[in-house]
This record gives sequence, structure tokens and C-alpha cells, in this order.
Amino acid sequence: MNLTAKALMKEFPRKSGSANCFTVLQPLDLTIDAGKLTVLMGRSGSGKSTLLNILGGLLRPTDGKVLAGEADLYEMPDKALSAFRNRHIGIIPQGQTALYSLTVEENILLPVTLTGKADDAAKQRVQTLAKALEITALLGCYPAELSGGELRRMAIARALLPQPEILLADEPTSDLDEETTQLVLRILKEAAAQGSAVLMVTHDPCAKEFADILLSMRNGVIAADAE
Amino acid sequence: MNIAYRNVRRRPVRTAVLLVLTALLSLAVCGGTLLVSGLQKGLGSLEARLGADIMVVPYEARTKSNLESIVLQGNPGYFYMDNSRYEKIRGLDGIGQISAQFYLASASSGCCSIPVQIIGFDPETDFTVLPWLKRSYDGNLQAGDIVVGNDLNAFPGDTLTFYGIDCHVAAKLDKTGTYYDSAVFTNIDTIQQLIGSSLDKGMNDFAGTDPQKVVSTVLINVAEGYSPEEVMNDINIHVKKVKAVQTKEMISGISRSLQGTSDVIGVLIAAVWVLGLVILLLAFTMSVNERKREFAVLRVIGASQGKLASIVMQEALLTGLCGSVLGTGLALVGMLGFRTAVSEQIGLPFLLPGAGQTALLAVMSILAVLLAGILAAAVCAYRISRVDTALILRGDNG
Repeated sequence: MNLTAKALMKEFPRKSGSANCFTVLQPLDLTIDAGKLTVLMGRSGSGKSTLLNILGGLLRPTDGKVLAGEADLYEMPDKALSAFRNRHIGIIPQGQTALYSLTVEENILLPVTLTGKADDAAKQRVQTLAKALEITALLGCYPAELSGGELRRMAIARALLPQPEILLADEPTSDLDEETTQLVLRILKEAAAQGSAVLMVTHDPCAKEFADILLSMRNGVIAADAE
Repeated sequence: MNIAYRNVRRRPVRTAVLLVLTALLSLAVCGGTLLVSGLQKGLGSLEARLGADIMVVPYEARTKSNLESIVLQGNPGYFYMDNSRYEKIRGLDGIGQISAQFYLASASSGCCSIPVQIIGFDPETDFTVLPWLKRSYDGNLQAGDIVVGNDLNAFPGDTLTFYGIDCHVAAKLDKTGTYYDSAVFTNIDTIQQLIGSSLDKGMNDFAGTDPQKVVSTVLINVAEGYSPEEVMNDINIHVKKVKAVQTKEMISGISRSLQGTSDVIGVLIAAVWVLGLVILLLAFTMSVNERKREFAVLRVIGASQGKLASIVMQEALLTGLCGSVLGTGLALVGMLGFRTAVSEQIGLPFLLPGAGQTALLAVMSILAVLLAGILAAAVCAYRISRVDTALILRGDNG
């Protein structure tokens, strides 16, 4: 499933309720192809995360549309969009995103728990992902007992659990050591190789060598090649 | 795995605070309502039990505090007046029903099994005790037979000794919430025998009194066409050394003070509720605010606005249910376990509602607190369901 943005534009009011706005995303067209790892690089404030949130159905654009396959995300009511996101879109947000009252395993299982499908197959897949991300020993722990890098890997496992056709990763390697960074990038690359449309937003130059498509963003405008 | 259940279970401090708050709310509503209801029911029962328009007592028992102490609160005591006054009152105009009663306080020394108020009545003329006595005993009391109040630790077939005379317990009365619960009833013959024996043993202040020629109180229902007030005034004017009082007036005085007490309790309950609701709302708001990021994560993985609201509501239901059951349970245990102490403390009759009514009140109290918790949580649920997920998740990088 491809993810396509058409004439996408986003403005934010300078003050809440004010008509005076600033433009974060200039009108843009973009396609994240299935089976490819697209890496979007850019400086802080360039609009990368805003674009990722809009593509994930989390932030309504000022103008334009987002199509996941044939589905127009912002034409769906909240319940349908949430269900679509749960089933088809995996998102790895910035920062720590653990639910601290749940164990690591329960955190990873959350997408299927929400839909009441936390069955043995899902639990088996948790084991597989945990092994790949080297967090098997941590599955019974609580997030408070984990390091930042371990928490990040937990979030990646959670996003990958439903085998999403679209995977959006916002700075997934920030604050990670080199070895873990390589591991995470390999996992994202594998997800793309298995057919997912993967978009990774990052500062990390290491990501370049894994990218199938490399884009850069500056002042809300996307350029085709970071080089 | 239920997310709401895990959140409640794994955040003990927050859960404990919410539990205590909801328990306090239900304790206030259930305990307060039981207290007010018990007071009103007790007074109603007393009114029904007294069942006379006018009560005439010897002049030395005239003070309000003395009368209330013996007649309303059931403190053991006695006073006597000459029988001739009973005859004189009976001859006055406006007297419908009239009957005398005899009071005797048993002693706490070895001659008596228990210290109680013993009340003698005349089965031939009585209209206040018998109608109620017949609910639990339909025989005729023989010489030496007694009927015990519900609070006394004696049962039919037992023998109690008063002033050296063995008395046979013929029946035990239903609970009334009044002084009748701690009194013993018997007929004239037996009480006169007991009074005589107490005099013989020198255990009665009324030395030289002939038990055959005294009564303690005269109870009167006025004849049709007469008002209690005019008959009372007539007695007070024409019969010496006695004091006639209107029983309903005596009770209405207490009724007024009870109404005041009920109002104060009502205001306190309302204050606890308002305060409790505000604190509940604050507690839920703080709890939800500190977990904004968690709720944003749930949105990211596909929780709808309705699902987030449902998690908040489930948490409120869980804590609200546990807290309100706990508080209502404490209120019931407190009221049922300490009703005698409550009655003694406030100096008024106290009669809790029956099991069915109490159970209904408990259920209503639980539901009311649940509703309050749900209302407080609903405000937070609405806010959290509209949280700006992208804004919360956005770090410093853009």
C-alpha cells in the first residue's frame, strides 16, 4: 500500500484562536512507496515531524489530502480512522512512549489488545520481534526499569507488531548508540523489504546508507535528494 | 488484559486517594441518611408508643428534664402520687380513656437480676401498652409474669429476680427504638408486689407508701368534642399536686430540635458532597493530565476518542464502585454496630429502618457515588478524548 500526499499544506496560528498564521508545510505532493525505505532528513523546525503526523492521520492538514492506498484518511470519521491506523499504519513517535503501568510485553501487545486480538499468535510475534530487537529478557519488566534505548526498541516492536503496510518512524535512532542504531535501521529496512511503505524522519546521517529514497526538507519544502 | 484495570491496580497511590474520596462520599450519604432516618423513625415510634393525649405526673416530677429523662429516654426512676388523684381526674369532664401506670426502678445490687425500669399497667383500662404488646404476646399476664424489652438480655422462659421476687419472662417485645426497649412490663398485681418488696427491703425512697394506693402516671385520651389543651388546663387547675402535660407537645418540642439536627446533618452531607465532587474532579483531572502522553500513545496505536473516554470512565467506575461499597459498608457497620451508643449520645429514640429499606438505601448510596464519580470522570474523558495527539508527541524537533 502506497501512502500519497496531494497538495498537502499546513499552517498553525501564531496564537491560539488567532487568524495570524505561519506556514509549516508549503503545498507538497509526496508518495511513500510500498517496499521502500524513504528517509526524510532536515534541520529542526523544517516541518518533518508535522508532515509525519499528518501522514499518520494524527494532525489534520490545512489543505490537501492523504491517501493510504485508496483511502482518504481525513475523509474518515474518527472511529474509522483510528481503526484504520490500528490495522494499517505503524507509528514510532518521538521520545518515550511507554505506558508505565504495563509490562514491556503488554506495551508491545497494545495494538492488538485494543482490538481484543491479543492471542497466542500475537504473543508469538512479540517473542520474534523481541528477539530481533534484542529485548527478550526485558519482556517481563516495567518501562521504568528500562534505558532510553531499550524503550525505543520496545516502541519499534509495538509499531511492527500488527505488520503494518505503512510504517512511520520519527527520529527512531535519536539517543541510541551506534550498534543499536544499526540494529534499528536494519529492522526498518527489513520491514520495507517485506512490502511495507516505510518513512523515516531523522537527523541521523547513518540512515542515508539504508535509504531506498532519500529526501530532504527545508522550511516546509521537500527536495528530491538530500545530497 | 484490561488497560483500565491495570492502570487502577498498578497506580496504588492514585487509586488509594480516589478510593478514600469515594468512600468518604458514600459514608457521608449513607451514614448521614441512616442517622436522620433513625432519629425520625425513633421519634415516630415514640409518638405512636406514648399514644395518649395527656400525661399526668406527680408535681415533683414536673420539670421538663426529669420527665424527658424518665419518659422519653427511659432512664430508670420512679415517682408516685396518691391513688385518689387518679379517681379525681377520672371524674373530670372531657376524659375519654384513662389508665394509670406504675414505675419502679430495679436496683443494681444482688436483689435484682438487672437494673431496669419496670412499668406496671392495668390491663383493664390500658390503651397505650397493650395494643403494641399484643403484636408479640397474645396471652394474659399472670401474677409474676413479665414482658421484656427488645434490648434486654432475657428470653421467654427465663426467670429474672427483682427485689427478691422471681419473675417469669412471658414474652420479648419487638424493637421500638424507644425506652420501651430497655424496660420490663408487668400487670398491677405484680408491680405492687415488687413495690411492696422494695419498700420492705428499704430500697425505695418512698418509705411509708402503700403500694395499693399509689400510681406513677395517669394517661388520658380526651373525649370527642374536647381539646387536649382545655382538659389539661382543667386538670392543672382542679387537681392538686399534679402536673398535666400534652405528650404530643412534649414530642413536638423534640421534633423541632430533631428537625434542626436533621437540617444540620443535611447541610453537612451537602457540604461533604460539594467538596468531594470538587476534589474528585481535581483528582481525575490531575490524573488524566499527568498521563496525557500515555493517552496520546494510545491514539497513535489506534485508540479512538471514544476508546480513550471509555478507559477513563472504566477507571472511574472501578474506583467508584470499590470506594462506594467500602464507604457504604463502613456506614452500615457503624450505624448498626453503634446504634445504642448513638441513641445514648444524642439522648433521643433511635430506630434504624428495616433490612429492606436499609439495603435499598445502601444501593442508592452506592449508585449516587458512582454517578458522581462518572460525572467527574466524564468531564476529564471529554477533555482527554480531544487531546491534540500530534502536539503532545511533538518534541523539540520539527
